[in-house]
Amino acid sequence: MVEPETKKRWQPSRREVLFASLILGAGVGGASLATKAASTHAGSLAERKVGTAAAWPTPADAERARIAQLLRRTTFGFTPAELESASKDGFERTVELLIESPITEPADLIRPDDPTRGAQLGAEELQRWWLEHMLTSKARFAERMTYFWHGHFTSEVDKSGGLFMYWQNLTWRRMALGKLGEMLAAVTVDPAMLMYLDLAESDASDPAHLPNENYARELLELFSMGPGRYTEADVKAAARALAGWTTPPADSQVEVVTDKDSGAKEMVDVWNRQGPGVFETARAFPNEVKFLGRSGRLDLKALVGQVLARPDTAQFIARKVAVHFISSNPAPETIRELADAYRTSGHDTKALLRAALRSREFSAPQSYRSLVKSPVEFMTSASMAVGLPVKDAVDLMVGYGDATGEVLFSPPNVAGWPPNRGWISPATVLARLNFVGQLLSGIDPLPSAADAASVHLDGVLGDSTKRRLAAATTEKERWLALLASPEFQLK
Amino acid sequence: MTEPTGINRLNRRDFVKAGLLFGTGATALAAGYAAVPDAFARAVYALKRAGGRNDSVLVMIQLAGGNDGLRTVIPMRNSVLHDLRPQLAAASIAKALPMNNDYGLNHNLPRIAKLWDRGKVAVVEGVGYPQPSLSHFESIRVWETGDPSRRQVNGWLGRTISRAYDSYGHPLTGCGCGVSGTPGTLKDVNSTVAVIESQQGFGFVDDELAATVGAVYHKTPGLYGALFDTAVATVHQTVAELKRLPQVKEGDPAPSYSKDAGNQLAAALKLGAQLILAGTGVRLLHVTLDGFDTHQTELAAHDSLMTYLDEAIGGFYDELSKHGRSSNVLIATWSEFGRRPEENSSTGTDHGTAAPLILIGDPVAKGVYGQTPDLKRLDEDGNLKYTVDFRSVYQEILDTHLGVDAKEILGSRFDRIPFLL
Repeated sequence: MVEPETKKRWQPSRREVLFASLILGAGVGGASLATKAASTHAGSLAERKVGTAAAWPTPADAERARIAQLLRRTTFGFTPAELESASKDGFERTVELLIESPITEPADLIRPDDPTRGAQLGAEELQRWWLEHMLTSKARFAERMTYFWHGHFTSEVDKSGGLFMYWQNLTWRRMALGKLGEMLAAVTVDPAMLMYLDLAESDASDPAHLPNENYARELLELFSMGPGRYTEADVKAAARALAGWTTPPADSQVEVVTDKDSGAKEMVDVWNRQGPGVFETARAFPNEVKFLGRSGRLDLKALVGQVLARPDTAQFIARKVAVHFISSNPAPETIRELADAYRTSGHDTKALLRAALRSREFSAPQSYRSLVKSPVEFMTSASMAVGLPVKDAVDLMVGYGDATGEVLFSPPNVAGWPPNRGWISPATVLARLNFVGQLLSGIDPLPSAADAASVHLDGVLGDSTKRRLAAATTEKERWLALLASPEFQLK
Repeated sequence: MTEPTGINRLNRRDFVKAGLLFGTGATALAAGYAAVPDAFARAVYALKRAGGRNDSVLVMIQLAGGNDGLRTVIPMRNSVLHDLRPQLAAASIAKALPMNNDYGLNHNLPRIAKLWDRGKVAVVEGVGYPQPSLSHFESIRVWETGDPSRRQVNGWLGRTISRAYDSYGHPLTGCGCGVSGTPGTLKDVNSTVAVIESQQGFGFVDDELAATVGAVYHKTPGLYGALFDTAVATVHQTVAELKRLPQVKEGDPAPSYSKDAGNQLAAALKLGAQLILAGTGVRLLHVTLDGFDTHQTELAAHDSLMTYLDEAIGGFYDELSKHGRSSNVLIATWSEFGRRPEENSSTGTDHGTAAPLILIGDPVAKGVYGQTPDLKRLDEDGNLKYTVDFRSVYQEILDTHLGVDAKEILGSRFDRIPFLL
């Protein structure tokens, strides 16, 4: 998206219009960075106030609300008992428990008797498998971070195939709270990503012809440094240095019936176990490249090293974490603080998230309800709040993925899902509300809603919701007023 | 569409002020919940009024899967076609409905052929884009966004809505009919778009929910309060608009359009016609006919898809025409790519590139435009080299039909193809 340099003063450019929406948290790809408007208007933390007429009321028990907010933003939902326990532990200890709890591997999706070893996994199987794990895993925060990386280092099941997407999901979970450098290396040779952004097909063996730049560009623009922080020559150099990486060769082939009616069969590739991509020297660039100021026959490790050495990388990831966990419009000093913590820890994601959750802005009044739950977060937290059996919840959620605007393993594009305001449209809000309607119709009897406003909404209700709740005469009406409320859409 | 009075007091300069005020986010919100979005919406509306949109209606029909252009608008005298397609070409050419000496329409398009005879059809040959992708979804994205470089996130019609129409409070300005997800073509972060799978399907799952939501989404506090309240109000307005339409019985979607209840394009266009006739303010409609990925045994499959297309378009045009409402309605087909000129060993065709687009309606200037790609000079994958950039077609639709400056939407200017009156 390139705007012409000269434009009439009175005509708002697309960038300005976008900027207005970005401030409200639409987070559209790269348009957010370093525009003149951004530096002029972003405003420091100290300057930003929310008028009393527009603000949510202050929670009566501020410390408990702070802990509930922490759970809303770091888990897919919680029970009253979990909130109770976290309140006893206190904020700081709860942060540590979340960050340091070990990951839980999900159940193996590939059946032991499957001769194809998952070669034909479909999108819906993957969605069901992951949603079930989100609802049941004890490693709540590791799962939430797996989900964060799913939207950051994102690939798409239609192009990459179900098996490689399954592997990618397992990889992000294992690395969810690890080091960024290891992730950048892993994502480059991740089979799903090799397929998704065409690196698997790229050929730089003939210096006269340019290789495919698709992956090299996104590595810099979307995965690490952010737009405008490198040159086109850097993109071409990275594309040359990385050409040769391709998906791992299959271990065998097996014949399967693809159409039961006609009996049609075809051979499918079978991989015995998960593995990274392989390097084919025949397609590699034969000469030296100059990438981000360093010349030589640079390999993947050298490339990642150059990317990490740029402060832009820590800054870019820090901003994204802040927009997902702190505020749709985080203050520059918060981002700086997070970036420093990331850089000085050797890009340790635990250090970054610890800094984010313990930041002043996380607990500041203006950050209260400043984030919109994603559809997945909205649906998992609603299901947990009323205790819907996991299988029923998964069925219902899979059915609402498309309408709510979030189909797992199928991002709208390589930039992932735009957060916060990006989730709000008439059709998607209607779908969220209908989800609640169907959810509550599916449970009989419903649990008591007596403590729900306190547990899930900190007792902080807008006037309209408060009135509706007071007028409700049945449990269903009470739950409807609470779960179909704007309050419950926020975190 | 009636306008609230007094709204024209704001001009573009006000928009900039409001936009920047809005842009300050929390500071602006301190001014109070109601004032900011209202000023913003008013200013946007004023801007859009000045942008000079008109009341024309556009219906985009997506032929999903990659339609075989060489079997839709057939270059009848091209001997190379016989050589490339020994199984597929002969019957298509023999049965084609001649448009002129060189081109014939697929024989399953008799109603479109009649519209051609009446001067209501234009064909643009050889439409594609540079460095074509043979991936369905990548190429779909290129066509949806109008951006072959794959940088643009929003749909070209979505951007048109956010630039040139007032969709807030007019949810049916842009509408996807017969689908559950927002069509990529209509997506934009700044526009409101209705998506109606069926007349019966859009709405709250039960009345209790509708009543609760109606009571709760009112003066919602906080950063997102106005957005949520607007979204829910839009849903309520759309539901109310849909109630004004004549009720269609379930399982009997479009009897006047198609003999086949499975013709979902006919059902979607029937709904579209009702939205237009009921005066809901619908401007940009998007509908989809799926199944064009004809890798094997193409003849039977493609024949029935052509029939679906013909019945749906014929029925839609006739219904609008009968009510005197066809004069400003343009129908345009698009598909992510055409198919490979050479047939494969399964009596089908693989993913291709350029293909003809068909434009239908009273605003059309009859003719075959563009240039049929040379079947003897294929690209390295054995595919057609495009002769017309698809954005030339978008440009003509935007500039001439919708009265919207195409350069603002598409980013640059393209060769003009004057297929509209």
